[in-house]
Amino acid sequence: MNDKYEKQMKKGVLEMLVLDLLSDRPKYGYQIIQEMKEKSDDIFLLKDGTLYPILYRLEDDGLVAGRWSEAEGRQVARKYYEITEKGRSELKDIQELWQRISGGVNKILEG
Amino acid sequence: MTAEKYVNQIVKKVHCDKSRKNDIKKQLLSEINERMSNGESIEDIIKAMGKVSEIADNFNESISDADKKKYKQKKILKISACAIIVLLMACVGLKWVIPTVGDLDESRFFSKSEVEKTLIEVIDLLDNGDYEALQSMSTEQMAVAFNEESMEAAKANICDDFGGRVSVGNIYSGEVIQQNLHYATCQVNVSYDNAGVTYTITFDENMKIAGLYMK
Repeated sequence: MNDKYEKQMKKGVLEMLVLDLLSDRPKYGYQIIQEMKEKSDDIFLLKDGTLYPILYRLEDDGLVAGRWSEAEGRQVARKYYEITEKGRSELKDIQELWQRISGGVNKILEG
Repeated sequence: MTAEKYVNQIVKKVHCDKSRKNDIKKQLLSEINERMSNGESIEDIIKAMGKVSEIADNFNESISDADKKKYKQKKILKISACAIIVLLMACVGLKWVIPTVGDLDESRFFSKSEVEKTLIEVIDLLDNGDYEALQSMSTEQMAVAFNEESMEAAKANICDDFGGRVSVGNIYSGEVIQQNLHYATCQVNVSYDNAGVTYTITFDENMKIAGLYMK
């Protein structure tokens, strides 16, 4: 039962977290997965099948822009995602919404 | 399982256009390569990434209904186009196999007067039983059939003794095209004292006898 609620709760905030992780500099998929794992103390263990569809959705909505890097030496080509201006504005709105929702939830839970 | 095979299986199940599929494939392979260069085995990576169907389902869930509809329409269009091409090819093949008949006057390969003249020559030779001459005028296959024994037997099937020739009727001719080969074919009724014989004789592009039918 916990697994079901955990999935639902995480699903709702993933786009915001991805946008937030991209807000300082462009990153590639695996890097986002690793960073999300580290920064959340293993709470958000994203799978590729979860992350990439999110990235494509954000890309389609114009919130991030993807570009392929050239392969250099042993380093393989990577697709870097960069947050766009529209993405930054959207992130600000989502964060405000999150604050309102989490604030409301906390108030209820604190009684 | 190899990385390529694993990724191909995922991409195959994702319902999106080709360029997006290529991008997904490139991106997943890039990540697998990176993880392998960090010392992870392909088995561990696949285990961590998840089942093919799960990943594909996740991708499919993220695709908008409009894009899914577009993808489905494209797929139907592609299948229809393939079906039409196969049908066209079948029609072309059928047209190639089924003989078509044209007017001999309009033929690029035959002269109607020459064909009719040769037809009468052939009937003369048949009446005279000059099978050696007929063999020299025939294709290799027909030359074998033009021997005295088989020809006399064929004539006897109609009448033991035709008798003398009385008249030659109208000649009906045409050009038959089959499998890109052109033939001139003509039919004529010849009256003899004791029988009436309809000859159908076919010539190939070199005016060699390619077929003979008597009734």
